[in-house]
Amino acid sequence: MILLEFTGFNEAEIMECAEKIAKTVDEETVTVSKRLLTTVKNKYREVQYGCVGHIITQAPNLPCPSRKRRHTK
Amino acid sequence: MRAILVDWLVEVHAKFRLSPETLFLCVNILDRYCTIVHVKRSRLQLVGVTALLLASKYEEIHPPEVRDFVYITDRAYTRQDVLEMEQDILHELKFHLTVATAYPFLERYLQLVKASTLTKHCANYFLERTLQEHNFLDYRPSLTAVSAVILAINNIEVINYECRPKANPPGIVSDISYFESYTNISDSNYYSYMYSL
Repeated sequence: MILLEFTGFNEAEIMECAEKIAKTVDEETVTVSKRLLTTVKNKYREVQYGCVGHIITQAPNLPCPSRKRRHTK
Repeated sequence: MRAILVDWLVEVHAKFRLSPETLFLCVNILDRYCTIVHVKRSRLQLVGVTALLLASKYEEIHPPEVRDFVYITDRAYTRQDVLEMEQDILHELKFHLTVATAYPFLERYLQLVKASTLTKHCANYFLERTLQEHNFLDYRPSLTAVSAVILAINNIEVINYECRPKANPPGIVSDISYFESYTNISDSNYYSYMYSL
């Protein structure tokens, strides 16, 4: 919530972009010549980056959209 | 071609131990130049390496020298080529190098949510992965940054890793990957040595 307020973006905008990032992280970048571009992933496998390249093995999960509050009279 | 170039630039950036701001500015310069000028495939690496030179000069306290960049291209281009390209990029961009990249936004948002070190690494990883993909150029840098932060703070694997029980006696590291990175000995070899000991 704090980020929504601070950035001024709405939830749908953020979720759309987050979904694309999650898809990008999950899939390896492959060139037309079937070459895998894994430099970023390999870089983040190092200890100095907390081995996050190792820790994240599956597609990052998207946060659940917040429920709209019902206004009661 | 852009993805291959950015992949190589990430490698060079890591080799020179430059700051993250430099990488983001470099890719920004590269993209802006390529939208203005039609670049031949044979000159694309020269544009990339010169963009990194410019970004280093802008962001770093001790930027690498021109000869370092010539060396990193395996001397595919001369010092004169790099200097001429530097002039051309600056002329085309009208010396407009102060731009808002996604990285400062990421830092600000991570500070705002009081993210842990691992979450910070995770958000940085997600954001750096977006650099290779040209379809993220449709989004504002701040939107990409906030999306990366939201994905990082909600990542189950990171949360589980941070909450795992740390029951090791002092001095004993259970994570073999720490030793692996120092010694270049693989997991299986470690266990065989341990058993033989």
